[in-house]
Amino acid sequence: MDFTFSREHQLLRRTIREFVEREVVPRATEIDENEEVPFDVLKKAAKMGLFGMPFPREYGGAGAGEIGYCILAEEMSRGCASTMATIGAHIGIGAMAIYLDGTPAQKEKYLKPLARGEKIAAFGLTEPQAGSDAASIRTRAVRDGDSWVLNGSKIWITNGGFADIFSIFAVTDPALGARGGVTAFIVEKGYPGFKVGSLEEKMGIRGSSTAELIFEDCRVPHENVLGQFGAGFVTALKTLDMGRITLGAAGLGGAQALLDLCVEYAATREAFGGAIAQKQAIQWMIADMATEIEALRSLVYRTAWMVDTHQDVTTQAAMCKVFGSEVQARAVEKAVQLFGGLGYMRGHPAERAFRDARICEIFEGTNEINRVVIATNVLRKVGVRISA
Amino acid sequence: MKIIVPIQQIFDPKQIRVSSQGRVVTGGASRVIEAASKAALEEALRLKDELGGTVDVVALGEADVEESLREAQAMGADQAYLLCDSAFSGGDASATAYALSVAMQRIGGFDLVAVGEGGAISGPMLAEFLGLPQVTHAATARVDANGRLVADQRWDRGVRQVRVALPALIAVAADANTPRYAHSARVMSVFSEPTLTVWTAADLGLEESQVGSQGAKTEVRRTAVPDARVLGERITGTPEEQARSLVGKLRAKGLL
Amino acid sequence: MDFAFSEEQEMFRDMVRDFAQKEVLPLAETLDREERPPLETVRKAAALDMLGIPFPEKYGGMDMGAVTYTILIEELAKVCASTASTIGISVGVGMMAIYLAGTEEQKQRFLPRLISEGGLAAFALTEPDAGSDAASIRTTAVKDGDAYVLNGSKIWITNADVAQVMTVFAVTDPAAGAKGISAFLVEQGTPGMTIGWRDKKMGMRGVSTCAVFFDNCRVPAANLLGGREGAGFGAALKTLDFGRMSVAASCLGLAQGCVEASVAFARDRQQFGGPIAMKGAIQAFIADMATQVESLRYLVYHTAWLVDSGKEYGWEASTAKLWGSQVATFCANKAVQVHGGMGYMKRFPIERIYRDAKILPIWEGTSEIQRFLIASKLFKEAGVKIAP
Repeated sequence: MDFTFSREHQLLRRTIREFVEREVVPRATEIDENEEVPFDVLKKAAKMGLFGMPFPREYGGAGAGEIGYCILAEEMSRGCASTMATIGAHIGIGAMAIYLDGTPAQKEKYLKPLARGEKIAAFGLTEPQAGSDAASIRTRAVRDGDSWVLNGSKIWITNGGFADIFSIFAVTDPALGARGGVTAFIVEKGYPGFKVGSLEEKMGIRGSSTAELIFEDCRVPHENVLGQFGAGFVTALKTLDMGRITLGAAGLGGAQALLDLCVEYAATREAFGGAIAQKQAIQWMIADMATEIEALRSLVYRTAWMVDTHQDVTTQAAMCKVFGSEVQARAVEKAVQLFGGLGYMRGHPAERAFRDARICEIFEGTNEINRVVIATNVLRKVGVRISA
Repeated sequence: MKIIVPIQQIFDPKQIRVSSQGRVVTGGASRVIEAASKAALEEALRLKDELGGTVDVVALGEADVEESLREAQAMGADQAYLLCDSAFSGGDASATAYALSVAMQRIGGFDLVAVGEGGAISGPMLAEFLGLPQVTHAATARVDANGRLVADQRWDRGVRQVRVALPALIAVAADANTPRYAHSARVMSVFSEPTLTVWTAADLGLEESQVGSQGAKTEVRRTAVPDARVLGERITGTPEEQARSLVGKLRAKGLL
Repeated sequence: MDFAFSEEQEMFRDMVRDFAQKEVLPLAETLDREERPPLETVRKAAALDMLGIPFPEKYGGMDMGAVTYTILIEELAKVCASTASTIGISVGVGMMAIYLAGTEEQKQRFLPRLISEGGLAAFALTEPDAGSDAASIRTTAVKDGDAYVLNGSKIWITNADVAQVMTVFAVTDPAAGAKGISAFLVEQGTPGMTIGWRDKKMGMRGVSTCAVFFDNCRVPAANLLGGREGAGFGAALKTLDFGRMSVAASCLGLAQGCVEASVAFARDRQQFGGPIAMKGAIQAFIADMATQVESLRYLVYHTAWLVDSGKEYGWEASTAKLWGSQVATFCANKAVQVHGGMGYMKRFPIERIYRDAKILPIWEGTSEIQRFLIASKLFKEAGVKIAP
């Protein structure tokens, strides 16, 4: 066993950290306060090759694997959760679906510009009546000559307001439902009948776009069927697995950044005749945060290693998501408490972290759904099948 | 255009501390390219973008200095050279500059040396050893129609333009530019490329007496931290009272 | 023992509930968005004699006691924590300081007018370097003829820019530590007092909190609270006891509101072929929330009953505040999780409640301070004096 990162990954972490400290951190407060998608920052990130981090170089990616992508997620989340949400939706689910199940021609046409950051991707599964119950989606795709005609809507699609390429899941056979009746399609922004609906105003990750997508007789060419026809749900779940791992890495970065801030503050803030670091209440907060972060770090990078060594990671991916989001939640709660009034004022990183972190236990499959996934896989080994 | 940039690797200044005994504590600190070296490298890479050619990097140090050379290549540098030998240890600025100058002459055929200003590698010393004209405090270097280097040189009164025939040396300050970020794909591929050459003292024909602690012309006697600043004094009262009080104190200190 | 409310108290609760639905709830989102206090609501509450509930008739009050006051704050907090806090901190802390520590003349001068006109009162103790360690405040007050000259600054003072009178704590004898602190009634518009910027906060945005600067601010000697120097700290501690009970009441209301909203949502939201109320995980959330609220309810009302019985209640108030803020944040967090994505979008009220709740374990004495006070009394009874 070797727990050290490769020299490549170490250098990668350093260069990303430098980028985040110089380009992202100074903009984080205004990105949140103004609800602004930071296109200037995203452009610089694309120039550095961040938008294709895990994808092979032959498709314009950086070839850094899942470990490299987790390093990106960790480092970016130290600076700005909104920027990470945008990059994460682009790499981890939007482009990822095409990477996992696209044909060589589709990867050539779509994955390359996405990996180079020339275009932005989004993943369209959720609908108003189909959140956790993703199998209840109703967006319909009907064959018409050499095209498919899509009708329906999606909600809460990250990057939805400005993405160029969408992986959209639609019902191709209502009688079969999720098993064989759902197909994935690659939809381009300019296709007739596709439009962006309302944009959501959110509690946190306000610098990321959360949009409604509307399909009104939207025509999609047949060659844009993504993955096996009728097996769209399999594509969706496979893709979400990969996205979940990075959520663990994002939680890790956010929690670690807060721990660093808390330690520095505790060492210098005086009350009752000494630094508050001398108080056991504060020491316990710091000890608990540090312990959980350490455990999360091992879970995330081991899971990433399993991906890079082609092992099945469905259970661990769900664990990364649940544990990562909850470790971060506990860390932000402690951090706001430790900073007292300061951590409640907008402009302070702990205040923003508190609002940004809350969505992590909800999106990408709620933690309840992910617990079902974990329990399903654990119980399957003793022959028990769980029904949702 | 062929440019050589000497690179200095240091511990990240943000991560090191000085203990109460005056010792520098580096435990756990990452190794980074010194800011001035990076600025010099950025200047060189910019010239390469504009004019074509190559940027080679050279560094002196232990085996781990390869990290910095590879980072420079990930940013866009071509060949890398590492001077690695126990004979080099304990050297001062002069001994290091001498060794680097010999390495650069071995590389040969260069038009420009770009070095960081005010860092551990002395531009003026290098220029002397190499017999090159030098432009210190240089920024925004460019080449004119006659193939001469033109650079802005910052001095206390402002900026003046200096023109120099090549080959030459420029010393670039740490804040002269904003260095580019290494591209992630290059970071992932650079370590396995056969573009790094390691030289010992013997490879360069250097005697022990010329380099390292034997070749040093200076010696470090003591390292210390400057005394902490004394807290200022707050002057209170009405504006008239404050003014009177302030004038009195300045007079008492002989400043008025 | 009788745990039932009187008929009069039940009628009062119905009246406040009605007021809350008609006058308070419709403004809740607006206050949060515009970040301003509900001055119009305060005046309407005054017209209904709500502001004088805990004060005797001879000061223009309704003499209805602490239990009735708690009912008021609970019902307001159920629909809008900002409105409950604006009124609660004004009545329960600002005006209460005058009532508990003022001279007869001072009580007559300020209380009747505030109660009848719906004026607000503020309480200025906290400074940038003196939060939990309140005894280390540095604002000074120097006697000069028939006035005191105040110099210093305060932060995060609730109602500072809308209050007619502010109780300001300042050091009159620097050598005497806590016993050298005096309190002054500084009226709105007194020269030398500048109200700074209104804080931009995570939540409770309908509560105005500001910095206050004193620059040679002359306060008449007749405004020395209680007419005695050195009595300030004792007055502050006594007032904060009542203030804690008041905050605990707002925690109860907020938490109760979360339970009611979650039950209704879980009943209506359909996923996986039925309401999410059918899911064990959701049932567990609701059960835990409800149990905590039930325990808090009697803790808070018992504390109020102690006040009305003329008994000591400081220790109980600390337990109510500590537990109340924990229950409130727990319930707000679970409520967001029950609501799923809708708990994160600004077009639903839950996300505002979540943001509002986060200040409750911090203001009016952090949970850490409450823990110290609670343990302190128990150890004192066992013969050990502990230090913060």
